[in-house]
Amino acid sequence: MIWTTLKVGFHKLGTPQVFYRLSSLLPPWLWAGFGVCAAIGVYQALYVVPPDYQQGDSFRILYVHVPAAWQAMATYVVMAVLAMIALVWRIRVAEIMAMVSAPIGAAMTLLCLATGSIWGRPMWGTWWAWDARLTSMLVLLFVYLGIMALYAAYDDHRKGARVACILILVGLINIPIIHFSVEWWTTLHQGATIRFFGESTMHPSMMPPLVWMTVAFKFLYAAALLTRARNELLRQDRSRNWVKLLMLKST
Amino acid sequence: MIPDFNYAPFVWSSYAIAAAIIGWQVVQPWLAHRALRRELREDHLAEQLEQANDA
Repeated sequence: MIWTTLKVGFHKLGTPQVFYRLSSLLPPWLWAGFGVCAAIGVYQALYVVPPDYQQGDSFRILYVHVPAAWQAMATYVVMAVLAMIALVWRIRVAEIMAMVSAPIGAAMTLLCLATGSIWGRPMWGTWWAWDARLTSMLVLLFVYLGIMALYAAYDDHRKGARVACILILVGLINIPIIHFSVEWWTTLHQGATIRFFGESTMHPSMMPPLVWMTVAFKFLYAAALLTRARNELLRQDRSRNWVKLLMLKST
Repeated sequence: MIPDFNYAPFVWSSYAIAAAIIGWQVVQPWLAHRALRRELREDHLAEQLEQANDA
């Protein structure tokens, strides 16, 4: 009974009208959540936490670098789940959500690479090194750009999305490579300092802004995802009756 | 008010890039939505005019 309800709810969510309504209602709350968490996080990162005893104030860059890196990888995992749903059940809304995730993931990856490079200059003495972590992160950016280009290359959106979904699943192999690169190879990039299971080597006084910023990035992703998906749905369904009715109501 | 950091140019440029990239994530879909709705409304009005002319 519960399974049937869940299944019906899942498929109902896949109908354009229901999804459009949901993607219109939720984003303002998600943007507000992002604004509050980011404001607290940035304030704590710049004004509350003390400078690092070795890195000085440059360590404050990590409060945007680390959440961006985590979000770049999390976006890819969510995108792969959506791609799987889209390929197995042929749910168009899942296809759309997978496709619009790519530019958000690319932006997060770019932010991670740019801030990492800026941090690297004073700390490592170089803007860039062909180190396993940095290179695998650069590959992630190219995979995101490849997905976006592949989807845009097809006039038939559904065909383009299906081909891009296959590329998403192939590119998933890069995520464990990024995560374990610092363990598998000798890298300039340091190993994990924050552990979910086990003791972190980061001082507890430096943790709160990181938590706030990480939550802020989750809100940002959810809000941007729904807003972009709503746009793409409208664009694809522009000649359908439900969109015409919607326009009729708004005029 | 503005904290006096060592490595200040590196810290501030990182936060500026973050603000620009995140700002784009906020503004771009919103602008796209506004443009799309305007376009769809114009299409709809054109369609209505066409129907009225045919009648």
